[in-house]
Amino acid sequence: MDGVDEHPIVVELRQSFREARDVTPEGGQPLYVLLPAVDLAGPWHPSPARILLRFPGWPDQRPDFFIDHAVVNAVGEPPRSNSDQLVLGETWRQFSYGFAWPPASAPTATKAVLAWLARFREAF
Amino acid sequence: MASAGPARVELRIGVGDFRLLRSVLEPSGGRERAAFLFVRPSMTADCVRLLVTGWWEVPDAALIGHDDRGLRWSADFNVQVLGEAISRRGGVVLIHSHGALGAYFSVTDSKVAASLMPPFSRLLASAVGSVVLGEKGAAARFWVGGEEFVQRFGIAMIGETIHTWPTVGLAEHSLERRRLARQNLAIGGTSDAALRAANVAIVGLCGGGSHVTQQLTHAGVGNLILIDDQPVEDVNRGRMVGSRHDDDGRPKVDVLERLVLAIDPSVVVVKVPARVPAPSSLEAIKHADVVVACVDSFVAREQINSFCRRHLIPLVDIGLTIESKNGQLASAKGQVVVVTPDSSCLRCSPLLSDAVLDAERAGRPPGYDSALDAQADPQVVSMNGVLASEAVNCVLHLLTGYAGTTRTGWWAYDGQVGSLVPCARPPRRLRCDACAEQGHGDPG
Amino acid sequence: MTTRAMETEVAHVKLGTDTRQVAAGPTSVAALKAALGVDATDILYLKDGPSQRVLGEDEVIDVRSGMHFEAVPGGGVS
Repeated sequence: MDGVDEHPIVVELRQSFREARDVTPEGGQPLYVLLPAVDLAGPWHPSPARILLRFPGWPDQRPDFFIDHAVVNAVGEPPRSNSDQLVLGETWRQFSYGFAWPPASAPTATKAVLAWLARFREAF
Repeated sequence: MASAGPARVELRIGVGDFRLLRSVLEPSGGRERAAFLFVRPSMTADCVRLLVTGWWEVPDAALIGHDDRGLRWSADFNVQVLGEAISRRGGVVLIHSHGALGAYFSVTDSKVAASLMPPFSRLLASAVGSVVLGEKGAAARFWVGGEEFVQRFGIAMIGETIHTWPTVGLAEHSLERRRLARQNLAIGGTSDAALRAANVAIVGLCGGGSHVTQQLTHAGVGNLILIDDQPVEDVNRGRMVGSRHDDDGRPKVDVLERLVLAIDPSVVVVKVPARVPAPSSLEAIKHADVVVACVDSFVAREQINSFCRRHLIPLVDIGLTIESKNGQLASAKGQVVVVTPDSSCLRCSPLLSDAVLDAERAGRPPGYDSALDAQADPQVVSMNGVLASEAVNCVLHLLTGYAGTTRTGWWAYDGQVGSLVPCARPPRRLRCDACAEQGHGDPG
Repeated sequence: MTTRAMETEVAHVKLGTDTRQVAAGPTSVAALKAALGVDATDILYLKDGPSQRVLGEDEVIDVRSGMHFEAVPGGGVS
């Protein structure tokens, strides 16, 4: 894909997360970004894992965060307080996790993803 | 030499799009025409469904020759087609028509297919093919990974009814079933075979879904996919058709399988003890010709709508909301809605507006539905039954066209006064997220 | 001073699923097509793993062993 037309969020995320790509379907939809290989902390596997982000209401609203359905912890359980979500034709996992948004300093997509990823420091 | 691959390839297209395509390919005069269809895959173990998402006619500017025997076009145009297919992340199908002369590959058609399709299939990493239309049928050849593969081929035109080439079931199921004799008098003798060959998925097997399952079985649907992850509880048995006093704790899919096989042991029942959008439930839905959604959440309804939209599977959705005040019925409003590729979808309508979905998500955060204190909604078996029966009529019409006239595809129900009224369907919504993914098929 | 005949290095490349031998080194696309036995009106792609690119008619590419090409012809119906 020609980098000239890429969404700035995609360009930004690619600097921190390899091979980030825009997977927005057509028709004026919010931005969807796939991070195909993100390292997870703690006992979570498979790692690296796929992460899908959706940006409705950005930057006032943090991006929606979906993790690969296969990700489980050391005892084979998904993140607690989770639900299956159909996104772009595939089942992803969403989970409850609170963090302050927007951050004290300028919100960036990378900060949002890192905040979400902090969830995986917990083992369950 | 052709090799074995998936047993069947089905080209799936909205009926309005198919009519338009034929009018382009079969003009009343002038030169022969051809077009490239852009397709996205929807794969199951035994069938490759290629969902048509658009097409390009071979333009005059690309022609390097044409006469009354055919036309030829440049490699440049083929490269443009490839570029578009790559950007759409799918495959292509070359299509043209021989009209009344019949569906067959001429020497030129075979030669071009054999030279063009192998490199196309290697460059696109997707199934590609060539289709020749006749008046009431089609011939086709398909390649994947550079190799031609042997398959049965069909075209499914999805509109108010599902029309297939070749017509499904007539050859395989020509014997009418005696128990359906009265039904055949009402909705036509060919309906028996069409229903026997049909695959219908029912999502949600309690208040609405149990009625639907029972009636579709009686009506002669030959293949049922039953999807529900819940066990029977005593509070279900006030409205779950087929449930018995000793069923508490038994999976709903097992109870409904028992009901189905007691009516007709020849029905093929696939049980999916899962909740949409669990991967197993989605994989099962892909096998369906029609999906009937009888779920109790707007978010679940939205996901089924989105998935069916994506895979061009017609959807019949029923829902009922009962409110009571001080122990008295205050309102009982519901609807039956049919969604096809040519129509608007549930997300286009206020039924699944952002506000409705956000409100439900706020009230049911991730992990809610498995909580013991999840809220239960009021239900009445007879009201569910009215909606379920009309949903079954919708399925019968989709599969057989029995009504012989246009049906609105949207009915509003008022259980308090006792009315089921056809209404105008809302138009397609600009920027509908489900419609934005229409025909996108498998992810990737 | 002595001269020595230049030896042309041979590259083993793929065209579609076939392996072909062509002269290695800088080659015009037109000459490459001829060497591969591809019709002059076909368009040549160079594949690189999952991606590919169209080779321009005026392009000169450095042909090496292991390269993978695809030829896309024109089309027709009858």
